[in-house]
Amino acid sequence: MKNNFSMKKSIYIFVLLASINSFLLNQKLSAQVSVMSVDVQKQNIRIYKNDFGPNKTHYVGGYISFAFAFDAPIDNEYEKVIDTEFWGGGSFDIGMYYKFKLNHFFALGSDLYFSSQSYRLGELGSVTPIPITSIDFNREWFSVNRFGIAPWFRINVNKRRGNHLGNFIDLGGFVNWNFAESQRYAVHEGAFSTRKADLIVRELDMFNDYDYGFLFRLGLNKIVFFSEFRWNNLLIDESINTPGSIFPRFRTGIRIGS
Amino acid sequence: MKHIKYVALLIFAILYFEGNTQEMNKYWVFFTDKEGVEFDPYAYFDPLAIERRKKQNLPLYDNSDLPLREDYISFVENVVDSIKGHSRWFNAICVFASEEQIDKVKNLPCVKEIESIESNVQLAHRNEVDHLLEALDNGTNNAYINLVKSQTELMGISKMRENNWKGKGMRIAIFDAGFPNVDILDAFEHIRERNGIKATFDFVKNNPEVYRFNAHGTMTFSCVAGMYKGIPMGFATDAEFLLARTERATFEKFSEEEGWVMAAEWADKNGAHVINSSLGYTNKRYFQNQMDGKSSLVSRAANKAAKKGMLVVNSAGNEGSGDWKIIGAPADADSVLTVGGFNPWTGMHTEFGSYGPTADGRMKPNVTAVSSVIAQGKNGYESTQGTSFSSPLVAGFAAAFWGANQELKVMEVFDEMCKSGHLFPYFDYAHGFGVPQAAAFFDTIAPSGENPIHIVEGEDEVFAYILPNYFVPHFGTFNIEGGGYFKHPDDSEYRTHSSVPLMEIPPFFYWHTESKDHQLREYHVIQLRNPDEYIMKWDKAKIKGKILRCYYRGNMYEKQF
Repeated sequence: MKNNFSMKKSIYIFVLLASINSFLLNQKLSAQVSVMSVDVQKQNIRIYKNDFGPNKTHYVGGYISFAFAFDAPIDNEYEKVIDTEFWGGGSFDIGMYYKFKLNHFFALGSDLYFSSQSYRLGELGSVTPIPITSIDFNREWFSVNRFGIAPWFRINVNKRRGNHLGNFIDLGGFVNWNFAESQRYAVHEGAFSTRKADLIVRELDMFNDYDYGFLFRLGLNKIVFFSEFRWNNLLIDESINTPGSIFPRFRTGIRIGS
Repeated sequence: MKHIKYVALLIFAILYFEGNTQEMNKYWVFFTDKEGVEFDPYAYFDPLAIERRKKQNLPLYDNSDLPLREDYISFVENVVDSIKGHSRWFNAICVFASEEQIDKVKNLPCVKEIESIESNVQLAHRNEVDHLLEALDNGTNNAYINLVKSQTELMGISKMRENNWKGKGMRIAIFDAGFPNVDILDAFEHIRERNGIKATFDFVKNNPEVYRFNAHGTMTFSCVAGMYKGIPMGFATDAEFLLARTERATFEKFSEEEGWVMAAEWADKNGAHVINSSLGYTNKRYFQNQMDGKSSLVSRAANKAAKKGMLVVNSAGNEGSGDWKIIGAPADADSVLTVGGFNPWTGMHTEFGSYGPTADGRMKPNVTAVSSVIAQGKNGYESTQGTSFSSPLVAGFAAAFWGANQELKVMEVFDEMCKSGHLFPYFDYAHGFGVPQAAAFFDTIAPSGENPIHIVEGEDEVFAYILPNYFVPHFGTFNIEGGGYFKHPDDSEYRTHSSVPLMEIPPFFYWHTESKDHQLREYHVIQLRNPDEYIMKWDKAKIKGKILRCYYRGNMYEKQF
């Protein structure tokens, strides 16, 4: 009895759906169809009153960047730049920015980004002692993942340009929130050989939660060369081998985006 | 630390790069006068340029044709880094100079004005479908052969060729980014055989070699005059040609807007009747409100070219679906015949084609032509799309018409092109006057005396009907073998058809309203399906004070409400 009811119900639903479908199809075929419709005034407002664009009042762009860290060699009784391998570390950033155009030459803006920075040490155990001595580690990295904000002031050098970024110089600062740090030890047989073993230590307490500094950029439209100087130390002196040790404070690289 | 030296190297490289780009800016330096210069037009101009002027009752030369003063050039040359070229029309030279140098140039008494140059061209070539069509190469696939035929047949090439209108006696200049293999490809053999390419010049590198670089020019040239196994790909197969490379079309800070200006003067000197330019300058230097036909030098040069008696045909651009939306320069110039894109698959304006009007409200594009074509690429035939290919189709069409009507002046040819549009006298900012039709020059269509557009005015509303005898229902985006859809070559359904009929323009119903300032307020295209139902209904209040125009199958209704 119950099955019978379900069957009937299904048939009713099917007939109903079929009728609706047929009605809709019929409606569609019987009506004239607008295949193009342009409201010129609305279009003009969209074109001429639009204040969003690379060289308009407001703009939001995205980017990725690659950089490496470096510093002048400092080694005195107060400070020591940690020896890091040039090609062994680096950083990758992904972010977006907002730009507010002040006039044809000047703009203000700010970046919001995620950044992952790593430093490969030249001298193993120079920051913290190697935890396991029975394994002969031959490489050591520190990695810092962070979110950052970087307000800046832009000077455009193009006298005449249309709705594109143009060539510019940015002067500004940055503040990073370092939310995840790790220390990694690894055994490699050669420069590019297979990694044999990894030891990763997380939740390090030797890093400051925040770092901050200044930035300088040279933009050639969508390609930007940048340099940053970190004002404070990444490391908390009390937590490391050698108080006064600092990771390289300069970061320079290239950024590509919109 | 050893890596300091790498950093120093990088910083040095950046500074060197930036330093160089800072130093070497490009400028137009305009002079105050041409006093005292001598000029012999017969020595300077090609005989065809002289003839063109005489036929159009234009002065043999005017002040803008005179050469620049050598002493002025020397003054500037002594200060700047180098000179790239000059323009007689604008009494100007194009120079590379540092800011310091240009400040010195500004103080020269012979200098009237300085304009910095920084722009990037956009080729009106889109999506690069660009796959080699082997079917065309072996000549076995009727579908593709009909596709080649359709791009010209939609404008009525058969009529033109029956009357031997093939552009004979016309000289067409083509401005583009390179013409690789034009000197060896079969598609241009008929032109080479009769020595039909009269001159070539590369305005980027300042030498005559143009048969390399970007294949865009080869493709546009094929749509002016190429042949595929005896089938014309464009209209002006018997014309003569001037090929100018005006653009580098690669990433660069400086582009060749000045190359266009110099090429226009070169075309004038060498006797061109028609210039085809499938190029546009948009957001790299300009804002949309500068697309008024006056702001850009290239648009002013295009107008100047028209004043010298040359018909400038320029693609509208492919910005219709982007942020820019409207036509670029020089398509914004009022004397330029601006060609929008027509999608043969839908039978109307192609989605990506740039829209009008100009920033100062003038109607553009003027006409439209097929923007999905088969073109001769660098190494084979290619299916491609863009208003880049609409423009050469119209340039060839205009040359074929003008060749047979050589008594006409340039703006008369311009008007005839507009009048031949399939929508004329109706127009809108997407289609212009529509796709030019050769039939307009040959067929005398007797008015039927009955307008199929039947307008009924109620108290508050206005209705449009089509008289039953004239009503043609239209269901597909394009009719094929009595119904159904005609799809793009990339579509699998298309590939299953071994035989594709030649395309036709579908019978849409068009309407627009125009306000008192002669600007269209809105425009629409309607696909008709049901003969028993009204086509459109308007609120009288909404169209009050406006002109309503409707168009259907060669008939227009117009009324001021």
